[in-house]
Amino acid sequence: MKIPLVLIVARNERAKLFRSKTIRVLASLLWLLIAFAALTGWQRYRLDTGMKMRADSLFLHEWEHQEANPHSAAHFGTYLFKPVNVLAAYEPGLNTYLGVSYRVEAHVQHEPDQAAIQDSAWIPRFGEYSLSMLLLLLVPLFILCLTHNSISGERDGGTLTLLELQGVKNSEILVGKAWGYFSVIGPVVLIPLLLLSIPVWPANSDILLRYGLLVVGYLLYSLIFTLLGIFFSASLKNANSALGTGLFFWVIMTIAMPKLVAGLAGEKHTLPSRYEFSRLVQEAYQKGVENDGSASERYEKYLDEILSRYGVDSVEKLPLNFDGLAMQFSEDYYAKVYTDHLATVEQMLDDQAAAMGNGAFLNPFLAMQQLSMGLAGTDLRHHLAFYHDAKAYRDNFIRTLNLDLAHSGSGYLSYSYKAPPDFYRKMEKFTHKLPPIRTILGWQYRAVIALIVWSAVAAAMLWILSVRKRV
Amino acid sequence: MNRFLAILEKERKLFFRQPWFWGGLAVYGLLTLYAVKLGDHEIEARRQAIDRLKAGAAQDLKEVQSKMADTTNNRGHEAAKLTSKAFMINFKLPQTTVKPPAPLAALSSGVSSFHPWHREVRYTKSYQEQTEAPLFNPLLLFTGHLDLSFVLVYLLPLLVIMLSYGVYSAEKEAGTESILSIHAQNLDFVIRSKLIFRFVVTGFLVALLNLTAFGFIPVGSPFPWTLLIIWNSLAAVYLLFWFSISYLVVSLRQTAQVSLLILTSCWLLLLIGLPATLNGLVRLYYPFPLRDEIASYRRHQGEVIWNMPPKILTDTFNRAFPDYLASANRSRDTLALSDRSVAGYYHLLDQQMTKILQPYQADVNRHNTVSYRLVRWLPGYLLEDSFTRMAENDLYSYLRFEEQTELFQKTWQKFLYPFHFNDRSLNLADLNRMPVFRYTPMPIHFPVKRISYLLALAAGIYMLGRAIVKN
Repeated sequence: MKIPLVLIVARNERAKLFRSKTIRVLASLLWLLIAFAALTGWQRYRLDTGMKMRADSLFLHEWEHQEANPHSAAHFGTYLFKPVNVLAAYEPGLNTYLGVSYRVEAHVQHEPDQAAIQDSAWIPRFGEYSLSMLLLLLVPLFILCLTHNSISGERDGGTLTLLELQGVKNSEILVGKAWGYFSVIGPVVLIPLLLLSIPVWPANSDILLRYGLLVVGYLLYSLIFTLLGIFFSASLKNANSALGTGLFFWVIMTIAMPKLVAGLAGEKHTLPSRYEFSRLVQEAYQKGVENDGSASERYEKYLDEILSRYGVDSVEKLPLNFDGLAMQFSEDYYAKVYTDHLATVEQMLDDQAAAMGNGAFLNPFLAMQQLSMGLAGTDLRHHLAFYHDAKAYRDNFIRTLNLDLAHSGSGYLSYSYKAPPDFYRKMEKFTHKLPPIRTILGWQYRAVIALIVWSAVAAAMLWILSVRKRV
Repeated sequence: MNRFLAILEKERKLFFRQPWFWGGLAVYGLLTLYAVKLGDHEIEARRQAIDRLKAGAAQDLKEVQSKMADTTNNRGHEAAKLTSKAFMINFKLPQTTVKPPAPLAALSSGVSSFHPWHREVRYTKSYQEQTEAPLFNPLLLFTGHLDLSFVLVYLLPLLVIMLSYGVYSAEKEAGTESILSIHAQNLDFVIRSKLIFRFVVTGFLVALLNLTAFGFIPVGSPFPWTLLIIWNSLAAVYLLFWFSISYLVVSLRQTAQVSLLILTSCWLLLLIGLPATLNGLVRLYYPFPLRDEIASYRRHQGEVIWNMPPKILTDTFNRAFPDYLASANRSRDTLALSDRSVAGYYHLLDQQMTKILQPYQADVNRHNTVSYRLVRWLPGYLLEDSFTRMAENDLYSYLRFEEQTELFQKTWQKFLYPFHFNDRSLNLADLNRMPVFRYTPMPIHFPVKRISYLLALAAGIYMLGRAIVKN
């Protein structure tokens, strides 16, 4: 059976690459760097997990072994810690910039705190050394260096003419070359990723699925750069120009453009200052919103309502502790105004993220970076999901304590009542689950579509070249 | 000399005919100008936030003054009396310390996005305050600021690489390499002359862009010529360093492609690979501690100290603040929740927290010290650190601001305590005497050591290149 010429070209290219020292050196170097990144990533993951587990059990122990007035306990409060996702060992994403602990206490709405970046004197301009950094930054560079003379080398050496004389069409050359190169580059990327999946196996199926999608994403990312490298080689006059153009493209895509896009996003949607945010929340609480009245007016109105409900004329005559009810009423209103203002800020964060997401259509690096962080659970959306869960837990937590005080049978403004340890032990524990895959893909739809579009565009560019008379 | 001038003249003519050179310089120039614009926008937003903060504080002061002045009726009189109490002034007029943006803050953002530039100060510290760090989008910060510092540290070397990698191969392509190689020094002389020309052109462009940047941003009056000289000196020696690396690589007399690959690898290694790897290792061996034990200690100490007999708390306060002994009243001060017992609580808490914070701060300092010791030899890090210090956006500027805030907190306490413990009310004249915080920046000295180091490095690399040529 006659073997298609495309396959012959691909097979020859593959054989040439395997014989070449360059691919062996580059692959060995890449695998070494990947191994080191994976090792340090796992060490970091174990360290972070250990610290958080220790902190979690410390605060849980303190919470469950107290015998205190519920309001004192509410001030004592507790701390919640963001769970560490195993994939963060490979893709630390935004973790350095994100708070890891959340304080739960009465009267105050906190934000996640203790981001590692706040103590660091060094700002990582391109992220931490990690597997994702290598795959996103270094692999495209390797690919462009490898492919720069895929066509131009043949042209300069005269072998391209020989191929054409033998009846090999442009399209067969280009597709054969692409296939040949990717059949080597693909495994160079895939093999370490498959090996690195072994430590991930004990995790649940959702994590494994995320990892699987990450592998597919990185393979697609590598394919895009393979096709682009061959395009540069075929369309430019010599190998020198192809290499220069490839490197220029790499610099623009991975170094300059992300910062430009981030700058534009920040400029277009400027966040308010912390002072303004805090002041707006305080004013909204003190003065009230939507004709609710000021804090003291709302209190008086609420008091009248409760007194009227129970048919008494003073708080001391109420069958429950009004202090607990009043504090919960105040908590509810503060939570409402805080959440409203927070939603405004989060909308701005969303707008900025959308601008970055739109940038992904112009930049495969941005697309894959966002998808990678999204799948690894180290992006902003995952952090906000934790924050919202923690906040909801906090509100419910304080409500439980206030209502216990209200129904404790103790007198108004009396703090002699102490809830036993059993009460605190039985309170709901905080749990936070990673969002399901379909939610992630919904968040990252721009990145997914951008990667597919880029693959199609790169393939289309090669196809356009193939209909020319000569490559 | 004639030969040198002849080469320069030839280069000048060639230069105007090379679109790549023009294009590269133009792209670099445009990126620089946009980076300056972005930085200016951010600083302008901060200035406006400071103005709003001051306006808010002025409004609060006006409200308090108006309440204190309104003694027209009994109700007004009671409100005025209450408002003029020291604890009410502390509550309604918390003082705000502000770190204003330095003249060059727009040119190097450093850590400015992660650290509070304003602090609310009251006469006691609870150690459980809400975060005052700026609101930021971690995705944008992870992607990184596009500021002048980034352009000079990361993009300028790429421009140098683009201008110099083909210096040797150009002679080869022109057919003059074999003639010049008869006398190796001839070829080397030509290459050096070409590099000098490119260094001068690039240096001139960089100096012009720096001057433009200084002119564009509001650096204040008088114009900071010293800072401009320091900034330009650092940029010039850094440029020289990268041209010396280019000379070394070109001395290897490899093809343009190989030279380009080597230079790009140097760029990757010196600016991304080594800093990320070294800091990743430091993070593993000197991790930032979680402040869980501090939080736990604070809560416990808070309870233990709060439950101490009022007499002990009062005596503690009297020993620490003997200035207020004259107004001590034993029978009143030893009651629960008396002013002195509460002040004694905060004083003891402050002492205990200062002790427990020291080992944690020591861990953080150790991390940053080790990190600095490892990366300070890297020219890119050195330059960026220098720029950030000049812009007062490094970690140590913000720590300095924290120290000054701590001192101011004591000043505020010293202002209000005499009123508080002598049971005196403040009057309108006292409000005009309230202490005002003024941030004192670090003086900036000419970085002789750093510039000498970069010069020595450039000279050493150049000598190595010369030695290779001679061999």
